[in-house]
This record gives sequence, C-alpha cells and structure tokens, in this order.
Amino acid sequence: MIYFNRTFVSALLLTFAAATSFAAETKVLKFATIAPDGSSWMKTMTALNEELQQKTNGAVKFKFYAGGVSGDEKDVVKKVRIGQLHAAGFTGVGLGEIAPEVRILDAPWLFKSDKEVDYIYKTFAKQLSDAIEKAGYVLLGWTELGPVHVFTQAPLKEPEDMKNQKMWVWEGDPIAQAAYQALDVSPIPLSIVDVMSSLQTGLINGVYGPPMGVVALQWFQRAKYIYPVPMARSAGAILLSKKAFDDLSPENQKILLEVAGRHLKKLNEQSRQENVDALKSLQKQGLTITPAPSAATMARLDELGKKARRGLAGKLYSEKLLDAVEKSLAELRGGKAKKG
Amino acid sequence: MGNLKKLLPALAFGAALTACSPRTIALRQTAALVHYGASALFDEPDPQFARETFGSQLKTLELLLRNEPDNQSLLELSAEGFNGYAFLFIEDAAPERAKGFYLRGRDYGLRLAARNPKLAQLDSLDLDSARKALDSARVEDAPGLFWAAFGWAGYINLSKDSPSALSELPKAVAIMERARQLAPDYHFAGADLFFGVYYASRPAILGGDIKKAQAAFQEARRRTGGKYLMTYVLEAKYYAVGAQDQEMFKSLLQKVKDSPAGQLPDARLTDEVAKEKAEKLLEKANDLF
Repeated sequence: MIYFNRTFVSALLLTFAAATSFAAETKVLKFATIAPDGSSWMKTMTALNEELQQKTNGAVKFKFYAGGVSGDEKDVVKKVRIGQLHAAGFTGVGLGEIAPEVRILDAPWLFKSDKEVDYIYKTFAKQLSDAIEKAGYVLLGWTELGPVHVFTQAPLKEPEDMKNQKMWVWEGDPIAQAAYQALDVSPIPLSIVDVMSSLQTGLINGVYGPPMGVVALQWFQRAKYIYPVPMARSAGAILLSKKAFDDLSPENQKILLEVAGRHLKKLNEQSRQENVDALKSLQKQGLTITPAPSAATMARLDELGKKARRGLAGKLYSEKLLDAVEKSLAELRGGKAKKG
Repeated sequence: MGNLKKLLPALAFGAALTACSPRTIALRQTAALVHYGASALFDEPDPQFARETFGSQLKTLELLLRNEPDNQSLLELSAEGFNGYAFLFIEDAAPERAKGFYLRGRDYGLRLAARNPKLAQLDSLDLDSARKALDSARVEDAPGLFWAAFGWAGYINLSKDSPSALSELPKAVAIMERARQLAPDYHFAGADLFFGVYYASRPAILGGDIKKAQAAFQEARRRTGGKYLMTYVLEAKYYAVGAQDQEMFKSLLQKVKDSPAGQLPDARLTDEVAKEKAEKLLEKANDLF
C-alpha cells in the first residue's frame, strides 16, 4: 500500500512537473527585417522558427515584424537597444550601426567572385563575429545579399555617367556614399522605406541593390538599364541581442545556434541562385544589362575602389583589417592562398 | 449570367443554320446547360457541398472548351471558376496547390482578353509594351483582363520567393488597373477590392498605402451597396490588421456573421464562404493584433 501510494504520488508529481514545464513561459524573440513576408528570407526564418519551437519544446520562438514595419534599420537598432525588439535581419547599414568593422565585407569594388567572398568570410570569421559580440549581439548567421548592381533609366556607358541620373543613396550609408564620391556623383539620401514612393514621384530615378532585393522591393519598375559591374557585395546577418541570448537556457542557446546556422547556410546558397534568376527575370521585363566595360574602365574602377576603401579606413574598419583583407585577396588571386 | 441566357437561343439558331453534327449540337447544348449549372453553383448555400462539386464542374468546363475553344462565355466561366476555386477553397489550406489553379484562371482570362488582337501577347510582353497594349483595351475586354490579373496576382502572392513571379507583379497590377478603369462594377467591384487588398497588405517599403486602401474598400462597398460580404472579410483581414485596429476588425467580421447571405445575385456561395472565413479570422484575432 505504501508502495502504491508512493508510486501514485510520484506519478502525480511527474504529471504536474510535465504540465508546468509545458506551461512555462515561452521566450518570444521579436525579430524585425526589411525583407517582405513570403520572400525566401522570411520563408527561411519561418522554417527556422518552426524547428526551433519543436526542438525547444515550445520554450523559444520568434515573432516576426517583416517588410520594414519596424522602420529603417537604424530604428530597429534603437528598438533592440531599449529591448522593444530582440533580433533582426540586418543589411550592411544596420550592421554598420552595430559593429562598423564588419562593413569591410561590403567595401566598394572589393570582391570579384563568389569564391573570393567565401574565402574572406572564412578567413576572418572569428574576427568578425567577435566584433559583433563585443557590440552586445550574437551572430546567428550571415545572410549574404549578393552583388550590388546599379539600376538606372538611361544607360551608363561609364560608371561616372551616374552624375546625370538622380541616384539614391541609403541615408547614413558611408559605404555607398564613398563609392559615389569616388565617381564624383552626388546622390539623394533617403530612408530605404521611401525609395519606392520616391521612384514613383520621380525624386530619384536610379537605385542600387542586389537583383533579388530590387525585385522583391519592386524597384525595377522605372529602371531600364543594369550596370554589369557590381559596386560591392552586400553583406547581411541575423543578430540576436546578447541580453536576450543570455536569457535562454544553455541548452536552448545551443539549439538556437545550431538550427539557425544550418538554415541560414542553406539560405546563402539559395540567394546566389536567386540573384542569377532575378537578373534573368528583369531582362524578361524589358531591362537591359549594358555591355561589359572596357579593360581601361575596369582598371579605373580597381583604382577608385582602392582609394575609396582606404578613405573609409579608420572610420568604419581599421587600416590593419583592410590591409589584412586586401593581402588575403591578393594571395588568393595570385594562387598563394592557404588551403582549407 | 445575363449574357449566358442570351447565348442559348443564339447557339440553337447557329446549330440549325450550320448543320452541325449531332455530337457538336449535343456538346453545345451541354455547354449552354453548364452556364445555368454554374449559376446554381455560385448560388449554392452549402459551402461544403460546393467544395465537393466545384472541381468536377471545372473539369466539365474544360471538356466543353476543347470543343469550342473560343466560346467567350465558357472562357469567362473557366477563368472565374478556377480563380474562385483557388481563392475560396484551396488557398488557405493548401497554398502550393492554389498556385496552379490561379495560373489556370489567369490563362483563361488571358485567352478571353486575347480576342482583342492587341492584347494577345500580354503574357510575354515586357512591362512598357504591356502598358501600351492595355491602352487599346475596350470595355468588352474588361472581364478577360480582370480574371487574368486576379489569377496572376493570386499566383504571385503565393510565390514571393520566386524572382520571376515577383518581377511580373507590376504587369498584373497594370492589367487590373485597366480593368478597373473599363468596368469598375465588374464582379462585385472586384478591381477595387483587389486594390484595397493590394495597398493594405503591403508595407510602405513596397508601396503600401493605408489611405489608398481605405478609399478602395469604400468604393467597393459603395458600388455593391455594402451587400457583398467578402468585402468586409478582406477589409478586416488586410485593412484593419494593417491599421492595427482590432475593434474595427471585430465589428467588420461580426457584420459578416450577422448579415444574410446571397443578397446579390450569384453571391450566395461567396457570402457563405465569407462567413466561414470571418469565423476563422475571429479565432485568430490574438495572433494578428
């Protein structure tokens, strides 16, 4: 009888414990992004979220604020700071607000191929994630946005022809500003949220962005031409505030990092293909990619890039980091890169 | 459906004159009967029964269209049928499947519009050329344009991860804009409803505009005398959610629940489905606000 009672009581306790753990408060991570609902980015986040909830037994989940409803990236950084949001998918502009060093990744005319991008992300992985951590965030994964092309109404024979267009620059983006400056172009600074309406009113008629971004944001409607040489490679990352991360149990932290890392790696692979597809689709909609520039123009862009990147050293990233990245790339181009 | 009733004697007369084979006459008579059948379907008070029978009706339409590929009433019914099937019954539960039905609805709409030779290549034209072609559209082209844009946008809405689908959205919108200019009353002011949803569901970054959305919904209500219940469901789901106005959300959906279905001809089924959707949305209110 005693035995029976003890079994009964412990069974009861177990049931009770299970019920309480099930009812335990779910940590809701509020996540903002300018990526629209239904886009590949958000589809990945949704799949990631489902797996996260499943593996943490409902203890951790994301709540999404997609399509820029939480404002421009700078507003999002502020909202994370005051705890109104916990996580975000940032492009370079938001990353620059948090850890300016990271902007080395979208420095003007730095990379010439996917291979170079992969090599630098890998070689400098620790340095970059440390910079993010130092700023009070945890890197859940990089979300490379891709090659940044310029979209204009009139064809650009030379990149300097942008002077004759009403070019947009994302306000508070020193990288794009430096690239324009190198070409002696004076762009019109606007929040990303106002680009679409400003294209419609004619305030601007030239924009830049990765093709998939330009398609997803529907900025191509007024554009006729695409300049073939990307101005930069747009970096992106999903960051979670360190405070919110520390609030999770060690076990759930581990699950979050693993699940996010896996999903976002897959997203990066998809993004590259989608950018290729987007360029094709844009041509089908009547946009023309202007002919590849001459060797002389390419050499000039190389020089302008070097100068622009040097001009940003000390402001965003250190001279030392720039030297190291450029040296690494030179080694890769010269075939002397370290293997692995 | 009025135009369909006129069609029946015309078909019989045509058959008599051209000495068609008995098979052709039989098929044409069936085609005419289907028009009435379809009308009964849109007036069906039991959504579950409609859900079960809609698919076979659509197959019958396709069968008849094989025999008369240019019959404009069959094309219009097929365009409406496939789009309606996707929207009313499939989209919420199986979005991937709905894509295919929307595309079929779009394609019947495009075929209907293609009777005007200037609109024959709408699907392959680039945006600028499509806009020019649309300038030449006339009032009688409006149904084809409306259903083409409806299906196209429905498909794109479910394919936001596809660059090729997304790059076609401006064209779909331009087609619907033209349909709205030509026949704003068509299909329960459907073009205004389309733009209400379009402007309300998009964030500002994508050209969303809550004022334009409000104006479009008001116009749709005005044109249907406030008797088409799906208007309120869409307004609640997109406008009230976009404006984060929970009170408005609840009162619009309550109105749908309280109003009689089928106040307008051929609207019974959609009204009944609107009631179902209203119920489901009310259950989800906490997630939306």
